[in-house]
Amino acid sequence: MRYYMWARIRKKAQEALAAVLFAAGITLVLCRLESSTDAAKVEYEQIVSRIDVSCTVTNLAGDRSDRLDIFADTISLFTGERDYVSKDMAGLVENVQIKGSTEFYWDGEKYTLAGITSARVDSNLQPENGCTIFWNEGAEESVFGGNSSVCIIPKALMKQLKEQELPEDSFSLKLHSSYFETEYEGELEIVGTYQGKNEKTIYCPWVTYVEIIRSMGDYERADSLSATLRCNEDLELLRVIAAEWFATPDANAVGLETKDGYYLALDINDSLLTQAKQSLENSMTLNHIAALLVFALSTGVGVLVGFLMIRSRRREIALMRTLGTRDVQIYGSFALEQMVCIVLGIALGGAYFRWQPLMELAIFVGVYFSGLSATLWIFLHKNLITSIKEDE
Amino acid sequence: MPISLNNVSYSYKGKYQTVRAVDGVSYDFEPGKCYAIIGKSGSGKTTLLSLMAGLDLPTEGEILVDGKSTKDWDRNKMRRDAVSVIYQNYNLFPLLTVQENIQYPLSLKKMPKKEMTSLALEVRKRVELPEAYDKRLPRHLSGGEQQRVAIARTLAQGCKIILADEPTGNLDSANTRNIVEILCSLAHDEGCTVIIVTHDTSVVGQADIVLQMKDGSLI
Repeated sequence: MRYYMWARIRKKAQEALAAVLFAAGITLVLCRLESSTDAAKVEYEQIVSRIDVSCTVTNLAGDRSDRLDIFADTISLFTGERDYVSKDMAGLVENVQIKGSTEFYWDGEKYTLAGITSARVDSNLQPENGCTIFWNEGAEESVFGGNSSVCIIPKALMKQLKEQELPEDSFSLKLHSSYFETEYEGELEIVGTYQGKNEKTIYCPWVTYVEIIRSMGDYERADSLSATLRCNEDLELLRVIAAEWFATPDANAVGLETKDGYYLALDINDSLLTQAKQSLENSMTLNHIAALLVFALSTGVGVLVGFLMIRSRRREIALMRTLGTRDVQIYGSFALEQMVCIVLGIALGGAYFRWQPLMELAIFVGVYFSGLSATLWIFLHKNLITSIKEDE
Repeated sequence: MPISLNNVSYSYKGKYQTVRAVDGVSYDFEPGKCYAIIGKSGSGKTTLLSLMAGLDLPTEGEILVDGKSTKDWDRNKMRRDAVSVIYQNYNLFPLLTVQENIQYPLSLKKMPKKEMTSLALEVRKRVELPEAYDKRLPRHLSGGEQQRVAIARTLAQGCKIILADEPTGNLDSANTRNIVEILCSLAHDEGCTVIIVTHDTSVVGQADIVLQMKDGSLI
């Protein structure tokens, strides 16, 4: 039977070549689809991980209030500074931006001292708004992350200092606490100015602000707090932890009271991520459906080609049977002949893509040979007498 | 090797109705004789031959090959070892050479290659085909030559019952005479049971016994 198979392959070289090319073509298409699906998955991961998800502490009405009075306990949820509160949330977020403020009088005018963790927290401090935060060498945006006694003041105030012939590299503070009737006197190094109109805010690092407030026996409080998610995969975990400590940002929600006795909500802004995810998932689903269709189509075509090939050789099968060839020998001969061509084609096509869609190829081979077996079974169980009569 | 028919009938479903192709045929075919079965088209000759070849089982009655019912035979084995069939159309594998066609039934018996080759050479000589034909494909041979290759294959197979269905259907008179001579010599010289289904009158003259079929029955 083996030499019969080789004789067929040799003498029907065109058919054999077509079978090899067919298998190679299908393998290439399947590999290409698999490869593009993998690339889409990687791209999906990359895009999804790059999209910023921010969370902001808001009041219960969902409006960002200027004075939320976020106490240290709540802040430490994000900074992980204290041991007695969960550090889980601090592990999930980065770029924590806190802004706290207190009022004081200077030269008879009311000013605000704002402690911030990053220059990004306030629109006044953007270079495009005339902020000169970077003019002083070494005084970069990161100074707000430390505890150096630096500040940025309005240009108008700088002008006033000049007019009063006061030192232009420092700003003297004198604060009093409304709660404890204590006072604080100190100096902050001026590292920049900003252009704001009618602005009466002196910006200093958050930690410096906290030290000043504490030295007066007062409690540090923040007016706003926001952060970005370190890794978007942790979004659900963040929601779980947030549910423990915050209410939902819904006007009608009755949220949990925070440890500080305030009803605060955590607003997680993931709309961009949701939209992008939805869009990418839709396109990946389409890609997947297309791959399935191509796979089904190519497998269907393979089975059909196998059926037609066997049908065209029914006389040979009948002759084999009349000569007493066992069914298993006939099946083996056809299967082996096809296997040589299909496996060669798959090897050619698959090697190019390094066998990525091994599962799909295995299914293709399985379905192809199941179809071949079913067709052969039909012809092997056909009544020989009637088949001979039909062919006569 | 004798072959006996005991009240053999065979029906099959045609396109429009059930056809009773063979109807209660009984006969004992003896070794060493050449039989010719004649009859009009549709009289059941080919079906009867196919039943004797074990291509299917009779719907009624039984066929005994060497004293054993075809129901009890492994019919593939029977066609390999006991009964050889020569058809008018189902003769040769188109993609195998003459030599490969002759060797095919031997390969089913798992004969060593050397023995296959020498036996194929021997039977090819017996049917008077030149050596140059060994590597030729059937389509490069005439009808008579193809039929001789089929007979050579039967000889190589070594079966003692030889059934031939219109073996001379497509041949001229010279080839017909030659083919029938070979077949009859197998009966007379080697003790085979040779049964030829034909409606060729020249074949009838060379057979030892002529049987006629009509409407599925022997008359």
